[in-house]
Amino acid sequence: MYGVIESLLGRVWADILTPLWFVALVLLIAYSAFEPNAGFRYLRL
Amino acid sequence: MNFLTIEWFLIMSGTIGFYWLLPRSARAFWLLLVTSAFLLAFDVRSFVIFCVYASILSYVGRQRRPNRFVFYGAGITVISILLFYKAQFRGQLLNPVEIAIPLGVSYVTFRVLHLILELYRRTIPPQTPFLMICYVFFIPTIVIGPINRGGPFIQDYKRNQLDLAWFSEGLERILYGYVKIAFFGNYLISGKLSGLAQALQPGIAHEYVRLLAVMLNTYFQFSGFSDVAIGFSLTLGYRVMENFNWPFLQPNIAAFWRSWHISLTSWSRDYIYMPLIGVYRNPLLASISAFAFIGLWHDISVPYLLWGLYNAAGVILWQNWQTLKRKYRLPAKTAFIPPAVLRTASVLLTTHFFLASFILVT
Repeated sequence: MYGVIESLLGRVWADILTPLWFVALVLLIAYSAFEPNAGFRYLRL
Repeated sequence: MNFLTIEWFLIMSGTIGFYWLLPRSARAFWLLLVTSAFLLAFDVRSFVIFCVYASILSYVGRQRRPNRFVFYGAGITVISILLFYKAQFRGQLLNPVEIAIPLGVSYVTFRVLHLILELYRRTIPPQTPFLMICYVFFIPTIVIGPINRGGPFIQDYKRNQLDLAWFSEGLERILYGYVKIAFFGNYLISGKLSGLAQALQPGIAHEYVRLLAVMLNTYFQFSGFSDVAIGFSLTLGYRVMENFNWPFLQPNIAAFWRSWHISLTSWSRDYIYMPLIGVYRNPLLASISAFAFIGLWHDISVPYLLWGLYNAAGVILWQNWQTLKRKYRLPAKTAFIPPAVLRTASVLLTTHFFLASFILVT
């Protein structure tokens, strides 16, 4: 992701936005984790 | 085993942390120890099977001369173990059973088979028993693959060096995997989209949304788990093969199957399709066999066999259409239709062809 942002907006913005991007993803995961887990839990191969 | 648990997160963190703190010579032992403890804790049957596989691989891996009987015997033994369990639990792939097929047996069987075949062909030279055991007992790819190849594994095993770029990429990949599993798979698809399907009256719309939810959930969960496994491997200094490559953006069914569950389809191509082409020179037979294998790998049942054959039909039809176009020099469709429209239509057609296959297995 750092490389993508750097190519689009430059190194300064990449240094700022990349950590924010990861923090946002962590928050998204945490928010989603409170929802019912109905996925692949029982898939065993 | 669910990756979205504190236990798995602690297993990953502890494994990675101690791995790089230990001296170089001890790291492989640490992975062995962690993998063994994991299997003993979650499925003792798997631990026993892994030990059997490691023993077989250790023996064939030392063979200086490719003795056909030894290698055939090894391969037949390994396949027999898998078939025994698959036959016992057939038809239960998507049922929430407590006692299921031993953890990871499908993936490890084909990893071991691959290495047996490559050792026999001498594309991989003889290896030490310890390395063979490490290949079998590799915790990142046990639960849900990818079916990682022996050659790259051996290279990374011998390199055994902390690469910060790989480590960073691995952490990022784990994060993306969890976003796919938790946000897209569980929250959006299993939660919201499935809820929408249940709210609709029984009919075409209900069935369409239901199948869409199953397909998308399958993709996000499976590719998410694969991302976590690939990221976990990267943090340990191992680059394993990719499993998905934007399958729902592919313009035709052949390209789709080069982008969906890549580790399995490439295994099928290398060890089912290509050998059959070499012996029978019949692409139709080879394609049908390869896809039948892919279907039956998921579950030894008629629905999954039909699922594989349905996808085979799509690929065969597309390939024959390409041959006809070349033979009769048909003009390119872009002469009449804008490329962007054509691409969008192709992607939608491909995706819906695959979507329809879930009718057979749900």
